[in-house]
This record gives sequence, C-alpha cells and structure tokens, in this order.
Amino acid sequence: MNTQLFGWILGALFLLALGVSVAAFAADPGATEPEPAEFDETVSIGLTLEAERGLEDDVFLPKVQAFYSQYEYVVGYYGPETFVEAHSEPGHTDQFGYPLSIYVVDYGVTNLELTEEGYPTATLEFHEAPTWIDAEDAWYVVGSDARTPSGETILSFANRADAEDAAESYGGEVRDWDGVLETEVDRDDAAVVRDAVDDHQIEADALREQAGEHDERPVSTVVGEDADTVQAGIDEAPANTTVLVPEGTYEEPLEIDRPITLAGEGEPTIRGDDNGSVITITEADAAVRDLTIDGVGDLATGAETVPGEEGDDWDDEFETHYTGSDAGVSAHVAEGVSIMNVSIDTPSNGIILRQSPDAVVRNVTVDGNEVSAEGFAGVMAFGSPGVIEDSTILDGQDAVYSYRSEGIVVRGNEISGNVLGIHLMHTDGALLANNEISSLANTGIYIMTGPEGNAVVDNYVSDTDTGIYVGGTDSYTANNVVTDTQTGLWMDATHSIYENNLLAENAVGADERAMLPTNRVVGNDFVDNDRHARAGPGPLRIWTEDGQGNYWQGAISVLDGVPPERAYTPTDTVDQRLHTTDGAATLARAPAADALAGLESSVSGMQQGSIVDRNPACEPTHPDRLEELDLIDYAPPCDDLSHT
Amino acid sequence: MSTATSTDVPGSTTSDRVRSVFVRELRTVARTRTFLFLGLVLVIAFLGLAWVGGGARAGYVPTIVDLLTPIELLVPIVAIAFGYRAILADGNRGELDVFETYPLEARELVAGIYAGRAIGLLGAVLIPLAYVGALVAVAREDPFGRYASHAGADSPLLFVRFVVVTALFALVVLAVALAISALANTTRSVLALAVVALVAVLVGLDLALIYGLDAGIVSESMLAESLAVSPLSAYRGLVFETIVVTAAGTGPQTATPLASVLGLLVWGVGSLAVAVWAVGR
Repeated sequence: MNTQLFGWILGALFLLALGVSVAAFAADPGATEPEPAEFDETVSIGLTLEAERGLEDDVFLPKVQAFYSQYEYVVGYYGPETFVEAHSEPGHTDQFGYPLSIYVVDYGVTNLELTEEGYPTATLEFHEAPTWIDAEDAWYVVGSDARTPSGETILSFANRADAEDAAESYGGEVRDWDGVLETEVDRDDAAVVRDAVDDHQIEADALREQAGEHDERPVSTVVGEDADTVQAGIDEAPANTTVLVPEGTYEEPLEIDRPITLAGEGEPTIRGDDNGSVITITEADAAVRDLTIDGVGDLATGAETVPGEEGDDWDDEFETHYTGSDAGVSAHVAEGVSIMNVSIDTPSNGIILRQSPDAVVRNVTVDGNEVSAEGFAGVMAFGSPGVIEDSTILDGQDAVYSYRSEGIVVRGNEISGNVLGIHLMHTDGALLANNEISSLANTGIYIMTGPEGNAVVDNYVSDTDTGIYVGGTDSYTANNVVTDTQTGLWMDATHSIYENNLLAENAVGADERAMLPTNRVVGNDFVDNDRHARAGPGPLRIWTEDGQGNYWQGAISVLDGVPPERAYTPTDTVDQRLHTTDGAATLARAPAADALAGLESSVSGMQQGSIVDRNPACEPTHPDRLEELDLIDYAPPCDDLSHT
Repeated sequence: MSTATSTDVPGSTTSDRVRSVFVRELRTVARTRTFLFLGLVLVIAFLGLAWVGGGARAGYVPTIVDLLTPIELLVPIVAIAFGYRAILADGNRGELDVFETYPLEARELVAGIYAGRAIGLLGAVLIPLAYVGALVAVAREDPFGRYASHAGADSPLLFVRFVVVTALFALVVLAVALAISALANTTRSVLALAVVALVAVLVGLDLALIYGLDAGIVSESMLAESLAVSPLSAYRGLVFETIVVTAAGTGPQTATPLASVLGLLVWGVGSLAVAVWAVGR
C-alpha cells in the first residue's frame, strides 16, 4: 500500500471526525423556531365542540399555540388563561417538556369588537389567516369584558398602544407575558366536578320531590264517568287536577296540552294506532302516571316535523330528525313534565323529551325493538335536562340518548339488550350514577363530541364491547365497576380524573386514548384482565399522583418490599404479562430490563404510547366488590406470601 | 508475522515507526475474528435495545436514553477486550525484547498500538450506533396526520453528539486496557487485572463517589465536577448535560461538561503514560 496516501486518508478522516464532533456541540439543536401551525390542526383544549358550533361566524376567540420540547403535537389553547391554567398544573413540565415557542394572535390588526356575550370578533381575512406573534413580546388585556363560552378571557396584541386602546374600550388592565403567567385562573376542573356530585344528587332529589306534587292533584275527571274518551277527559279537566283512567284498554292516541296529571287506576293500557306517538305532551307541568302504553308507531328516526313550538337553533334539522319521531310518550317544549310508573312497549322510541327541561322520568319500563337497528331510544332528551331514574330499559338502539341536555341526571337505571346504554352528545355537566348496564352490543356509557364536566360514578357495566367511553374534558369517572368487556374504560377525555374504578375480567382494562397527557388516574383496581391497560398515540402517561398509584394484579409482590418500590408499566412487554404468565415476575426484574426502563421517564413526553405507574398500590381499593364478584383470590395484597 | 515490519525500522523517522506498528495492529485487528464477532454482538445488542425499549419508534433522544445504561456496561467490556492483550502479546512473543535492539521507543510502540486498536474499537462501537441512528430515522413513528406536529427538541444532531461522546468514552477505556496490558507479565495476570479494572470502572469509582459524598470527602458544591473522577460518571454526565437535559428542560445541573471532558482526557492520557512507562521499564 502507498503509505503516504494511506497517511493522508487517515489524517483527512481524523480531521473530518474532529470537525463533526465540534460542529455537533457548537450547533444549537433548538435554534430553529417552529413556524405557527393552522390552529384547526392543533391538539386543542378550552372549548367544547358544542360551544364551537354555536358561535357566530365573525367570532374569533383568543388563541395560543405552544410547541413543547418533548411533545410532538402542537397544543392549541382557547384563551391565554387556558394556557396559564395548564402550566400551573403539577407535572406539566414533566410530561410536555418546556415550551420551545408560544404564539398568540394580534387583535391589533383586525377590527376587534365584542359581541353581546363578550366574544371578540375579527374580520374574515383575520379568520382565514390570523396574525400570530411571539407570546413573550405581546401585550395583554386582563380582566376586560371579553369572554369565551368558558368564561373570562385575555386579549393579546403586538403593540402596547393597541392593548391600551382595547382596555379603554372594554375595561381591564394591560400586562406583559410575565404578568399574564401570574394571573389567577379559576376554571371548573375535574376536581370541581367531583366535589359537585353530592350537590347534583341533592338537586335531582329536589326535582323529583317537586314532580311528586303532580301526584297530589285532585281528581276532577274520571274517564268513563265524566268523559267518554280519555282525550275528552283531558280536554275538560281544569288545570292542576288529575284525569283518572280506570282499568281497561283505551285505543286512542292522546295529546296533553294542559297542566294536568293523567293517571291510571290499576294499570290501564293506552293503545296507539301503530302510527305516531301515543301520548304527546305540549304543555309545561303535565304528568303521566301508572299506565301501560303500546301501539306506538314505528318511525324510530327521520321525522321532518315536530309537534309543538319549533326552535331556531343551528341544529334544528338534526333535532327534528330525532325528536319528531314516534314514541310512547313525547314531550315538546314542556317544562317540568313528569312520567312515572309507566310501562311502554315500542318498536321505535320509549320517551322523547324535546326542549323540556326539569323533566322527571321515574320507574318507567321501556321494552324496545328487539331488532336494535330498527328501534331507537328508550329515553331521548334533547335540550331537556332533568332526572331519568330507577327505570328499566331493554332492547333498541340507545337506552338513554341525551343531546345538549346540560346537567342531566341518569341514575339507578337497569339497562340491557341495547346497542348503547347511556349516550351523551354535546351534553355537559351530566351525572350518570348507579346504573346497572349489561349485555349490550356496543358501549355501556358513551360520552362523545367533546363535552366538559361530566360525572360518571358508581355504575356497574358488564358484558358489553366497550364498558365506559369518556370523551371531552374535565370529567370525573369514579367508583365504577366494569367487567367482561373488550375494553373496560376508553379514556378519550383530557384534564379528567379517573379514580377508584374496578376493571376486572376485560380483554383490556383501560385504554388511554387522549393525546394530551393530562389525566389523573389513581386508586383504580385492575384485576384479571387479559391486559390491564393500553395506550394510543401520544407520550408516556404517568398514572401516579402524590405518591398514589393504582392496584394492578401481579404488578408487585413480596419481592418488592412493603411499601413496594417498583414502578409498573402496563404497556411493557414483560410487565403486561406479570399476572398471566409464569416466569414473567423473574424476567421483569432482570437488570437489563431495569437498565432499559430506568431512564425512560427522563424524557417522558418523547416516549410513545406507554403508561407507567410509579407507585403501584399494595392492596385493591375495592376488596368488598372483588369479594362480590368472586375475584378476591385474584387480588392478593403485595405482602401476601402465599401468592409469590 | 511481524518481523518484516520491524526490520525496516533502522534509519526511519518516528512517524514511520509509529505507522508501521499501526499498520501491523490494523492487520491484527482485521484478522482477529473475535473482534468482528464483538462488533456483530454490539450491532445486535444496540438494535435490540433500541427496538425493545421502544426508543427507535419514539425518536433520537428516547433511543439515547434507552441505550445509555447498557452502553455504560457494554462499551468498557468491549474496549477492554480490544486492548488488554495488545502489548502483552508482543511481550510474550519476545518482540518487546527485540525492540530494545532497534530504535523503536516505548511511546512510539504504544502510540502505534493504541491508534491501531482504536480504529478497530471505534469501528466496533460506532458502526452499530450508526445502524441505530438509521433505524430511528426509518422506524420513527409518524405522528397522527390529523394534527400539526413538530420534532420538539429531538434531533439527529443530539444523536451525533451521543456518538461523539461515546467514542471518547470508548477511547478512554481502551487506554486503560493498554495500561493493564503493559503492566501485566503473564496471560493469567492480565486477565485478572482486566477484571479488576472492569469492576473498578463499572462500579468501584461510582461507589467511591457515593461513599465520598456520604463521608464528606466530596463536597456537595463540587459534586458535579467530582463526577469527572469516574469515567463512567463523566460519560453519563456528558450525555445528560449535552443531550438529555437539552430536551427535557431545566433542573439542577447534572454535570459540568468541561470537568467531565477533562476527567476523561486525564484518564486516557494518564493510562497511555502508564503504558509507556511500563513498556519502557
């Protein structure tokens, strides 16, 4: 070999290596600031889908977009206050890293005005291409009249003068970014929802008591004595009296347009003509008691008109499609109706409530269509928050379908044989409690379309495809028992609390699907699931808070001491088999496995689709329930020597 | 095998002499199947770790985090394997006696051997890392198309830093191995010494630091700098400070990069000096 050439080549290689090394450390990996993204494409928080759909076209809410060092998606916040709140949450930096860039919009370059509700407006051009500016260089108006559907908001401007003008017009004071970060933000989060559960129950009790007054109305008309037909009796009865229907079968569809109580004596049957609804209510404070209803028409959905007053909202067509359909009892724009002790056999819907708030449905049995696809809802509530309780709803599509019924309470019902059990769309602040749901084709409780502030507590769901599907934000899901499903808990919601649930005998106990790692998941029991938990796209989720984790069958044992010192990763190849596979306990404690797992949390935001519980609990939260389910043998405490 | 290269030494310059030793070492490395095998093992180990740990699908920094601890253990073992018999073998064959009659100085011999073995070792360590880098580039999961995404602080640049720091670390342990090789008289003693050195490097020095901190010998204000005493901690600190922390955010300083680099250099140069001294005695 030509040694001279060889030497030159070596020298060149050495210099190249040296150059690369120096360059690698001299270059700043964070030097390129990411450009602002389309806000619609960010993972956004701070506005429900319902609120978004209800906004006028010219409304342009304040927005922030943040690029984090460890989180690969751009996070969009409605209002700087939402950003401030997120940043004050414990563990935020652990999960997202630090912000590489933060952008806000400049209201100074558009014709800012506030709507009646206080929502900021902007020009069409601004809507199409908003001016994004660096948040740290911007000026803000805090405490003005400006609002988003979630409450008070902060406006942002590139120039201080513009901010001062806005403060002049709409109140508030001008601050810089540091001043904004110090703003106290008080939004209703999941903890508030948790604290409100008891009050919500009490309010529902009060509503039921109030509906009880419908039972006290004096009898003014007895059908067959004072009137020939039931309808004639209703038409003749004075307000606030009872029309009594003696035992028998009455073949006539009815319309109640007066504040009276229609009550059966014994259990008479009201039979429709298999066409349309059997009882249609169009007056507030009407009540139906002690009746059996059949002969309901078979139009499950797809109506083109509605009885009673029509609405004028963005979704009227949608509403008519559903609520104009046939039902055993159908109430329209009738506040405070109550339906109790009624039994309905229907091929379409059981009860329809449209724009009828404060309704009480109690002790009702709906026997729906055995061919689920041909029937629809057991109880349908559109814009009708109220109480649906102690009822039995069998077969059909949805047992309870709630649409835009903010604050509805569904409790103590027995649901079986349907496709979906309790189905919420655009419904915020609902309380779903103590329902017993079994044998459904699809999902026990299904909260969709990104609502906020829903509470799902003390329900028992078994033998469904998905047990409980929680979507939206700031929801509270606690003390539920889900067994024998393909996926026990489908966690789509963000900023939510999932605590003290028991997930047993499911193919997958819980499936975390939220892209933002912002949920609090503690005190849950995972027992005898094929896989305890799984995670979809997104970073590492940490299911531990303040040193408290969850109980995972098999996660820890006497090997790990008391209190146990071992993190559990249900998404890990070996850890996920700890409770099912002999020998996994030994393999999981290999130094090689520890070496791999040891540092992963240091960049948790960059890990993919995984979950870790840093402090698995030693004992299950619900030994009593496990006892009832005959599963207690599967859930030994970690210091139980007989189970190592 | 090598008398041919030694006999053309008279009248040559230092660089010629170093080069001829270097070329001889390169041939030795190239002919030793064990080294090739070690390289293959590292390829499999690194790729396996990056895949099993999930780092490869997540990005460069998560991969580095997955590899760091295993590398702290594997690289010293491989480096020692590459170097612990390099000088002793010459001694056993009588070449060290021969070179006393030739104008080949101890430092020239050590420099040549070190350079030759270093090329082999770097090949064995860096080629697997290059495969890992390529794996991440290919296997990294694309984010959900529905949402706007960005790479965050993750960057191939950080992986290049990791490769550079790891190369430095490997070279330092190789120098330690050469010193051992030069100090030992017999095959049996070199094996024992190599094991002792491994234990010292892998656990001894870090344990000493912990003991020192506990006993107050290492002051808290100087801990970040004192880490440089242990090559393992110096390396780990460099990775944390220049790579992981860059991505993860701020916190207490994990290490002083300058002290760590100096510590590694002192270990490397010091070990080579010991080797030169031992060969020349």
